[in-house]
Amino acid sequence: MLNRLLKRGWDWFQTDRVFTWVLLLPVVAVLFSYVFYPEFRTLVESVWVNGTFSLKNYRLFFNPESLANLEALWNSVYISILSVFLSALIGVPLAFIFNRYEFPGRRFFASAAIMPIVLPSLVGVMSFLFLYGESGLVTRSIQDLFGLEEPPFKLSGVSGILLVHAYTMYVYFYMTVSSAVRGLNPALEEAATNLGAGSWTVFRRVTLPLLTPALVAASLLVFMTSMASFSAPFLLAGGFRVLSLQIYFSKINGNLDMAATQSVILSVISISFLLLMRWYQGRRDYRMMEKGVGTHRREVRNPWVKWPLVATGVFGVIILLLPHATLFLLSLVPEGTWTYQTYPTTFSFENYILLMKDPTIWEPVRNSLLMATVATAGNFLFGIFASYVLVKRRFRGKNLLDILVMLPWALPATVVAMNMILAFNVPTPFTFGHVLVGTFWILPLAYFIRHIPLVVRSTNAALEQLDDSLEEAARNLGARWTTTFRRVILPVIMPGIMAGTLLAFVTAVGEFVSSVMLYTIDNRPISIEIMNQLRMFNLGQAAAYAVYQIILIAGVLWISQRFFGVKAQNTL
Amino acid sequence: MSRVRLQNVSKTFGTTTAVKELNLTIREGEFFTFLGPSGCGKTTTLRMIAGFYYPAEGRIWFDNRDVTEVPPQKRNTGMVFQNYALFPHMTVHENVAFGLEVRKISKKEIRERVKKALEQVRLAGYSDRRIAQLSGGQQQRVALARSLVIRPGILLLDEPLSNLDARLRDEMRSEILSLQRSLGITTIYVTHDQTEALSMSDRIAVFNQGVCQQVGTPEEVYNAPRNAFVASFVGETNLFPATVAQVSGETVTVQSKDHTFRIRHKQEESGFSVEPGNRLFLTIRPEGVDLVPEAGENTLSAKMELVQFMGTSFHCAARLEDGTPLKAMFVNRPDLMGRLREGDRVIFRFPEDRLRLIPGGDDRA
Repeated sequence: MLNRLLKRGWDWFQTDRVFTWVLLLPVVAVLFSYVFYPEFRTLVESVWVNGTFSLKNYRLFFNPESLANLEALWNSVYISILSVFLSALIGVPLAFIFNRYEFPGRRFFASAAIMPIVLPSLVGVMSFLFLYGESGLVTRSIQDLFGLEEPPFKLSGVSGILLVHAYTMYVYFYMTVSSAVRGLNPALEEAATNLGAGSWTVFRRVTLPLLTPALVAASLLVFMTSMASFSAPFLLAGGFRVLSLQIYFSKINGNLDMAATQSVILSVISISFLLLMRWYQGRRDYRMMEKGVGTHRREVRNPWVKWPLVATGVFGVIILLLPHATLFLLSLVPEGTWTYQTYPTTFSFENYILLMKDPTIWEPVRNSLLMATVATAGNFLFGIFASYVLVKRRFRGKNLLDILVMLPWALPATVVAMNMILAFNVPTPFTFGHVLVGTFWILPLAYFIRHIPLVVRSTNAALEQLDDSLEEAARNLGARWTTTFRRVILPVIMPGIMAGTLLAFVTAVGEFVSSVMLYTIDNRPISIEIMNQLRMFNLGQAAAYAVYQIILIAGVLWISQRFFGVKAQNTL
Repeated sequence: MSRVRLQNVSKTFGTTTAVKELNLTIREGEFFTFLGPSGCGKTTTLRMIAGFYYPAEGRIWFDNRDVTEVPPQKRNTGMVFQNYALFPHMTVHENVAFGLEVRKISKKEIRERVKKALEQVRLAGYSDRRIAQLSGGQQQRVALARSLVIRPGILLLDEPLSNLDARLRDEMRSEILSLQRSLGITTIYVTHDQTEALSMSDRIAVFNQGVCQQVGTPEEVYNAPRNAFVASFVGETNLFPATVAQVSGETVTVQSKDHTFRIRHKQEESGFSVEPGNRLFLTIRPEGVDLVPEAGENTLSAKMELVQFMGTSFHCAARLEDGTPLKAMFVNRPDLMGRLREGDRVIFRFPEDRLRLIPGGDDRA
């Protein structure tokens, strides 16, 4: 009797709908505790003043008398818009040149063009300072060359931020437009030409409309990234205010109410962009993305076009790789050997050797690796389940869950960190009754939250490729769901999961923005140590840390392309 | 080998009804086909038998076991999917062995049974190939071996030939059939291709809009369609609305197109009786139409519009005086040479034993 009841219970448990909820429960629990609840806490903090509901903070923010916040908001917006234009200006032509024309070295240039993505944000800005700052190498060279009294330019303020943004964010345009150009069926343009259209008409009436989805997607992406940008304003802004930085300053000054308010306002902007992007991609027509379209690149034969093209390419690559080279060069300068001289004179591997010998220098590296490993392990497990439920199961409220998953990607890191501070500076059931702020665990948790979307998205892509009939076939052959999952689903989607997870790992190792908001002296990661070394003008050691990060990131990207067949553009 | 019984089965998705009040019994060892256009509910029914959908109403029985709510992995059916659903990360051997491994069968026996199954589908020596290295036809055979190796009670085939090219399809058709005959396994075959259905099946169920229209042997379904849908979906046919003028025993006289036709109508064969004044359909297959030199009983004059020579036969499209199109088919004979010319006026005869009446006039609805 009991046996039969148990069996019935087990059968009920195995029915699809119930099973979906069983899978869903932990996913929803994690998203609720660590994504929704912190954001909700921030909202509450911003409208809950001295125990009552009040919009005082918002009135303060939009106060026409003290324009600091409004000015920051406006600056953020216009910097973002300009960043979109500048990135497009570089990225789109490059995408066309490298995908449409065949010339010597094309493949090399094409892959060099994505090199900016291996620079973590802080490291990128730092290398720009080393190059074009007031006492940067390029600045000084030009000053010397022309015997100028003053540095010819200095990297700071709006122009500095824009330069860094253009350098790091054009990659979004380059990648999305490149893949769109490759996906474009050449027969369409040929058809237009055949119907009598000139090349300009073909571009305007056929090519451009077909590229619009890619351009819009890249624009939204750059705009959001730029709104969230922290490192560039942090190091270059001077007195210039932007919103993401204002949150940091409010927090440093202990004005948590205002920090919460600023976070909410930045959140609203980011979430609207997330929804806009989802809406746009939902209505996007994928029929053009035919597979197996044979792209044919036009070979450039005219030497008067070919060699200038190659020369421009070489020059462009030099500019692109200059930051990487500079960091490597400066990492060879031992501490205290480059003070008043124009250029560094002594080079050695001392900084690298010190890493092996000096435990205080090794410690941040160890912290970063440890915390990234912990966070990424969480991402790996969570990503598999969340993605499976989202892609393969049907249930009410799926859309909402999907938005919740994407939220940590849309929210600026500053806001995510702020949310965590406000949520976990008191004991909560989600943290098993512990205060997390000021402990080791806050950073791994922040990394975990930040990279949920990354892993889930890349796993989604793999799962969407997996035909439902594969799972059905396994069950038809007698396999239970767990067996099916382990033997069929997991092995097929593993490359997708690994690609996302590895990327999450390297991003966590390079993470600066949430680290600077949340670190303690015991868990300070590499990027914080880079900042400290910079503050002490210990450029060599800072550069050495940066080189570790770059090597790690480049290595992991190479591995995931080589062994998991992951295209770099899929990782965006 | 099992008998499958569907008892008053219905399935809805949201507000749309995919399958409505279906009652069917599939006999032991039978090759049974679900035939119908896409979206007619045939695949939904198959998936309910496999256990991927649960019926909203009704019961499903395998022999005397109620399997309505049994999960798919406990039904012991072998299914071949339209896209084969071969596991891309496994070799041919691993694919075929999968169902045996989850049944915890000893390694040695697995090896033997997989080997035998691959021999059955003429793929011996392919065990270590990757799925991507196989042609479409070979993948099809692996899928077949994988579902047969577990010795299923019922073999389920979901449009298994639709991804193959024409020549391969003919080849696989006879291969599947001879395999089924030699194993004697109860087989349910889903297809929208009437040639497949007619040539392979012991019995066919014709589906339309979630409702089973007719169940019968291929001859019954083709020669004695129950309604206009079955008549026009299975094979080509000519359908004319007609009114019954006179009934005397088995001979019925109907009025259609201002002509009078005499028909042999057996009530026990067609399942309905006619009375004068009934409105219904008069139907004749293209191959039933005769070509005669002069007008007489059951004749019509028409203009030949298109003549296609197919080798074994001539396919003709003609138009009657009132503009109604008519399809006719003549087996290639020396005396027809040069007689079928486009633009000619010809006289067709509808032999009374080839004409059939089908309900579907407006007063019977």
